[in-house]
Amino acid sequence: MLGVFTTGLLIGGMLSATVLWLFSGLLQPLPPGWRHGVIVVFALACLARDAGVARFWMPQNARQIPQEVLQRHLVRGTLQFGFELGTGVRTYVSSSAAYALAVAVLLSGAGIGTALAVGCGFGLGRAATPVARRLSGDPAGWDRRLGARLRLLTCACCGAVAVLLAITGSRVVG
Amino acid sequence: MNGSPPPGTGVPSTPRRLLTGPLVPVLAMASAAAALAPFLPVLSWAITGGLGGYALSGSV
Repeated sequence: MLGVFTTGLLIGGMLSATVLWLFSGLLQPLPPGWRHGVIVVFALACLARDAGVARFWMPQNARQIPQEVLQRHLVRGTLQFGFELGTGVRTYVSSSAAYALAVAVLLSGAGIGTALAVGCGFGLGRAATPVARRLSGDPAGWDRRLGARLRLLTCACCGAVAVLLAITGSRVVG
Repeated sequence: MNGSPPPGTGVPSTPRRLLTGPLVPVLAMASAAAALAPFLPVLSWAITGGLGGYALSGSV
């Protein structure tokens, strides 16, 4: 089932990335240096938001994916569950790193290949959670450790995303 | 009943606990993306995407 779930995550992530890439064409007239600056500043703002230093509203679909999705048909439901999670727009967004990535794809001027790579990576990143949980051999304990470090984890991810966008963004923009 | 836990449900060994800690994938992905950025920027972007996905570990 993990394979089916991951397939759904990959499809969802690539779909969202493709949509962002399509809209990115509208922003290409903006100066490349300005776009890169916005990517980095916004990623840092996202980090401040995750750290609780800054508070600002970001759009999210404030709902959980209904459990009935999994109950109707196990395989199809698992695929749909993964797909909805993979899109990043069908459930809560508990970390601002996803917004930083979306803005980066919108503004970087990257090609469709790079956008799809980000989408694939996003899906695999979401799949890494159940994989790590299973590999731990103690899923309940893993959940407890995650809960105790969740703020640190989201900040570390967002901080790393900000630094990496500062590095790789300049290689695409312009 | 002999008091021992069923297979696969015991407390994991310390190395296993360390290697599968929730923060390990963050360190691994961040390091890999930074190392690959100069040579394979597309792969670096993909791993950056992975960090964005993994950051949502707390939500379903």
